[in-house]
Amino acid sequence: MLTRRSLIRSTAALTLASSLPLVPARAQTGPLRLEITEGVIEPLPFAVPRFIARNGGAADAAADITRVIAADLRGTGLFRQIPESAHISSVTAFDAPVQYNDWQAINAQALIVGEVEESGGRLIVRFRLFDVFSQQPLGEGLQFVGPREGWRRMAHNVADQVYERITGEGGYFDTRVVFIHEEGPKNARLKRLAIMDYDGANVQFLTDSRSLVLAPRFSPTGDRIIYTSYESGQPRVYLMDVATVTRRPLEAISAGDMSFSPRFTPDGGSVVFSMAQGGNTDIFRVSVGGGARTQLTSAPSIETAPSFSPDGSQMVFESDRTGGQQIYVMPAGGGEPQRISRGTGRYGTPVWSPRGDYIAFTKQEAGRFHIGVMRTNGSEERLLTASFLDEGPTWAPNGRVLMFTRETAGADGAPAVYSVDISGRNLQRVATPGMASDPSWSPRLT
Amino acid sequence: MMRALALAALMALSTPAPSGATGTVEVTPQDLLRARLTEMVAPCWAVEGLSPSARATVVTLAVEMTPEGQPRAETIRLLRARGDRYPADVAQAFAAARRAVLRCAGAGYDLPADLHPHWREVEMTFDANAHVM
Repeated sequence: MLTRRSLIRSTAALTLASSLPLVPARAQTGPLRLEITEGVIEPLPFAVPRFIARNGGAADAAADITRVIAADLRGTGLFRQIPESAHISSVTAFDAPVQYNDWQAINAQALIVGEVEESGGRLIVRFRLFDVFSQQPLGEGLQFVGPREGWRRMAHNVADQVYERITGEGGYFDTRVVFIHEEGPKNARLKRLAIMDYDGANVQFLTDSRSLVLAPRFSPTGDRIIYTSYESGQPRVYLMDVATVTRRPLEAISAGDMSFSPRFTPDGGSVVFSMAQGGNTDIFRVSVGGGARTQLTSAPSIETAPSFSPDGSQMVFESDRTGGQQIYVMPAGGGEPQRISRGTGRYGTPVWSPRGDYIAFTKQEAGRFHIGVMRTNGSEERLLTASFLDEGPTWAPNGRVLMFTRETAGADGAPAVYSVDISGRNLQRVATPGMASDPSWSPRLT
Repeated sequence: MMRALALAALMALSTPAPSGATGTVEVTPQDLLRARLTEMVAPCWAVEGLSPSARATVVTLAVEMTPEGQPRAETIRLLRARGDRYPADVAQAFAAARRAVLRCAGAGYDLPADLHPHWREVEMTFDANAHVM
């Protein structure tokens, strides 16, 4: 028997029916209404012809900026670049009318046109974005001005604008990542604090390798870093100014105590961290400017890895108070924690999304490690990765992408930084100059 | 021969099928037009690039079509939106839907010209909730 579903899916039937003059179509009473519920999961094709150099001094920068913009967009997995060799039109002037038909013919949905000018040692970068099939600009043209050495940031700024205008959410290209650079054999590993652009460029070392350093975290404004260092002989939380690379201990601690796993509050005015005293570990809060610390948890178990909700009202952390390591949420000022991780296995290193909608975590189950996300009440858990050792997620400022550490197995096992979309797609290794671990993503710099 | 096949197809479409508690099945040419156009537009609706909140925003647009099957770009307008309905989400969801309609048109949607009165005005609802993360 013919079903309604099979009939309406039959293009052949429509062709036959429409070829007859006696089709019993109902009288036209209004528009044809239809509902589309299945789109395609495919990167959006874009074209970015090499930016025009307004003068000779801008030629190299124009090529470099175009390359970085394209790499930023391609790297998201949401965009597919149409190679220049396939272009029909060539853009010879920034303000020239767009030959939409030529770009449609190669199926470009978005077109990025730009020019670069050098003036007095500074670069001026202008760009425009077009929706090819709508044949109209997507937003206003913009220009960025900066020192010549800042060309990468200007490229990232253009890519952020393009990303925002097409996806509707903030970009994450003009950002930095602080991480632990590692050297040497596994049993004698040297670790240094380092900072780089989100794409692995412009690496700068912030500490030498004389002291073990762990768990760096950016402040909400990106100008300070909080981390754990053994430079005094015991793990202790330090605060560093990124611009001057100066550091100081966050606060005085008693001999034998250990402070670690720090993170800023959303307003940047305080830091929460774990303190191990007399064999017990709880979470404390202290103002960056000093003063007495406040104890937020009080349990005969290990409470660590605190992270705040973006509005600062709640805190998520890990605890083994029920035996296994699990994730709990409680009011920011302290109170009764509610366990939100409910699956099998052990959960740790929870981090609240900047958008407030998800909590990312590390999960260990059946000898495998995973990076996953769950709603803030623990529902909708999804595992995004699986490997010998994946841990320590950090969010991109738009809450769409995560970076984390992946370490390979064996005596020669080495850590590296990876990124993954919260859909679980687009897993990529981040380019670093050597072994790298424990990334922390900065906020947008502009 | 073709006419006989077409007549059989038409009879199959217009004849109520016997059924039990579910009632009769009736498929009209409008149903077929709807299915055909859906099949042709959906492959150009790229939901991957939309933010989760834009994907959760259901938009309905209206468009007028030429007898050659070309959407008149200047007639595409947003009729309504539901979901979170932040302006930015609505704008992005509408833009993606608009791009889909225009991009897949190519040389014109392959629809029967003799039925043009039935598809001259089209309202399309784009609901990406199946894709929401």
